[in-house]
Amino acid sequence: MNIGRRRFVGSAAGMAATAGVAADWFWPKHSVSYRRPRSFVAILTATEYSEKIETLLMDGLRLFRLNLLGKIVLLKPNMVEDLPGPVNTNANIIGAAARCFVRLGATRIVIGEGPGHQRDTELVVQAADLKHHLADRRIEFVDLNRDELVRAKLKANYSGLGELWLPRSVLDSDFVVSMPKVKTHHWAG
Amino acid sequence: MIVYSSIRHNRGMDYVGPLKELHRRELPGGGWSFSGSPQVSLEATCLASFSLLAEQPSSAPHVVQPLLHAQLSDGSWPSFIGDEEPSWTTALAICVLNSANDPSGARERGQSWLLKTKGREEDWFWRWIFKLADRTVRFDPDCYGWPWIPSSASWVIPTALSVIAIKQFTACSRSEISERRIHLGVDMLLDRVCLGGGWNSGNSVVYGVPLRAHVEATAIALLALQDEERTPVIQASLDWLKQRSSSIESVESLAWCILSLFVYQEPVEHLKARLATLVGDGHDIRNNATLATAILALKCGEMIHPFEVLR
Repeated sequence: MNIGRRRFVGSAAGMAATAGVAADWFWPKHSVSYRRPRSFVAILTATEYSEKIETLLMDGLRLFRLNLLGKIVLLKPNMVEDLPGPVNTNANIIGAAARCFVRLGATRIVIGEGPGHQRDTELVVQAADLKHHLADRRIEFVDLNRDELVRAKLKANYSGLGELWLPRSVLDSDFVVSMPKVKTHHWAG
Repeated sequence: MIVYSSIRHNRGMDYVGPLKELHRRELPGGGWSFSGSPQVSLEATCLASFSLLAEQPSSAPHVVQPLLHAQLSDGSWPSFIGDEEPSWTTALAICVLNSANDPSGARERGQSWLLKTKGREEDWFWRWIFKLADRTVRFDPDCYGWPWIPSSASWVIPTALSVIAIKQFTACSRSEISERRIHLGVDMLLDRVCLGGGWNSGNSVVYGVPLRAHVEATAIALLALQDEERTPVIQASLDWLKQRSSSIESVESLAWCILSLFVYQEPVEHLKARLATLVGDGHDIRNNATLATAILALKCGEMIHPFEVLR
């Protein structure tokens, strides 16, 4: 079979491109799975945001037998707007969680948040009525939008970014607790 | 070096304590971090630089040095030292260099970058997506401004600060392209105004729901519009800010209210008195950008306003 030089070069380029696309498709972007084989979940019922929530939360946390002695715990609530309404994680829950982790032996509790649209974080903290929960010197609030940033290499590169600048308060903490506000409005779908 | 004993000030609006505190927090290599870290924040550094320049204009060469060193090769400034990405702080840095009347050419390079930087909706593809497909947000994509970082959409605060920076820098001689970008930026701000006045961070209506105005965005947008015709939209926004300022207990928002209301010749003395009480000697204000903005607000009327645009 006689293949012309031009056709050969064209075919080779086509095969190389196909192989490149296929390799990108099949090549794993991560080498280690960080998913735990088993997760522990506790679902607790509370009928209202009140002082009683701390006892309930403490009972729930004890189920997990966490070793937090001397640890730094970062609580990450959802604080979105300077509105007193349900758009933010309720301050009673945040305060109760902070006090529970202190009782479990943590040396420092950092409540860290950086609102996405409202630049005045103090205004959001005031509206959420969080300030009086910060009276204990072991509990502090950090504005993650204004925290020192540290370049962190990603362990898994799903995003293709390779690295991210992350707040030091997050990286320095031993235990991160996500405290989302479950959205029930129409924007959430 | 600032000599505090020589500072004349109004005892009722004591800003000497906060100014000393801000000066004490200057990093050894120059510049300011947001709070306590060694990482220079351009936002905090720019706002602190305004405060020092207002106190002692002769300190300009010392004050602008960290900014000149931080400028990226494309003329922009990053959010913080160590980052290589351009950011919205470019507009703020140009305003500082305007205040310092810096002759180094850094402003020209900064403005050149600003004029090239556009909100993503400027791109024909995104413009048509917003016109035809994505109707969840309601705005005119033909009116674009500036993003926080390149390759993202226009937002109110970066657009307002960019408009101020270009208006200030080109006050004496304005090119056609500068004029065009200023008009586009102003149009973008007027297009995004909330129902009832004021500005949210970006759009004013999402999923058919009108968004509420934010204090800081409104104050800064009004600063950008200070030399424009006082239309009903601007007047409504000013009224909203005046009304809202009466109940603000947050230092940062109250300071921006004062800076904005002052250029519209609204009375601010009662707001300054409240701000002075909130700030105290400045020790409890951890965020240096907030502390610096508060000092500027307390000095309103006793300095050349850093965001004033000559008409």
